[in-house]
Amino acid sequence: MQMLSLFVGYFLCGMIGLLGIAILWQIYDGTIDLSMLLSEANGDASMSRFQFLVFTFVISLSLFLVIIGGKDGPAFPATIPAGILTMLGISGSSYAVGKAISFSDPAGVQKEPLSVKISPDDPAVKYAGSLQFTAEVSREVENAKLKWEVIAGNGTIDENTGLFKAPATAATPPAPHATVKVTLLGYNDVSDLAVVTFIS
Amino acid sequence: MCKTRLTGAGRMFMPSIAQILSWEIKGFLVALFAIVGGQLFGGQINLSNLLYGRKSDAGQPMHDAAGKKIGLRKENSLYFSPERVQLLMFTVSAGVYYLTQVMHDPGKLPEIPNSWTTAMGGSNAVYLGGKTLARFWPGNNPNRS
Repeated sequence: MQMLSLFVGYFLCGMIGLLGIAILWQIYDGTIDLSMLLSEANGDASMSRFQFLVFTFVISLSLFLVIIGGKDGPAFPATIPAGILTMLGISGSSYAVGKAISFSDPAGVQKEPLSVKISPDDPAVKYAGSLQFTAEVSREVENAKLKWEVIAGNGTIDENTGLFKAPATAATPPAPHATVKVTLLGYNDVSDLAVVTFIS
Repeated sequence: MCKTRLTGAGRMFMPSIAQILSWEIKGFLVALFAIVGGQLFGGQINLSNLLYGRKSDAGQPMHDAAGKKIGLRKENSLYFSPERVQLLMFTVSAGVYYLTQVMHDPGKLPEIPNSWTTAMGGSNAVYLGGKTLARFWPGNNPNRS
């Protein structure tokens, strides 16, 4: 009977260990996604959540160290200092009140609209010259890729790099402008325009 | 605390169940902290705008340098938030302080001085105050100081 209980004990230890490894592995390879662990509904990182994370780590590690560090073998501490509970209470209350403030206004929980901003937006370039366009996406998008094109006027642009090349000479009839468009691939309605003026 | 068990003819040492569990929990916690810490510093866990707040100012008029109205603000603007910086500093300081105390004497959970709980309460109050101001009284200046 003693052997059986010992065997069951070791078996359970093994199972708990395997469960821990499985959880850690899934976090490591991204199956358990922690990317939004500290994020609010609008996509911004939350200071209250960060505080909760720090306190959780500190208290759990402290508790573990105290339990295994007991003089008469592993034991749960007889008392939990009131200061710890107060700190956790302050942190929890702050989190709850912060949430209430954010949710009191719809704008506080809406994700920042996805947009792309072209730069420079009103450039001038000499005939036969070139100009490097850049664009900034308002928030992080996985595998974000931009597509560049000239939708009106003369000139060419590299659709991947945004390097614009002006025509060698003025066109006849005169067409001193070109319109460059940048689009976030996969989001056809997320785009921006710039009008290029050709100068002699 | 963690005894080793002598088995068979006394030639093989078997760790006790408590010892195995202790190793497992220790390993799990250390690995978890390492993975989460690595993801925090590596950028996999989103920390964007951690030190920035948002003003509830969408729809408010924007003016140029001459004071002429040039349109309405489309999105809630971001502002650098000192109240978040001070909360971050207090939080990290409190965490490091407490862990240091535990490591110094791991026999019991150390007391936290009253001054620390008061300071933490004040720090959180300042943070919430700033958040409330930005949400309910955003003002007209998009670049809040």
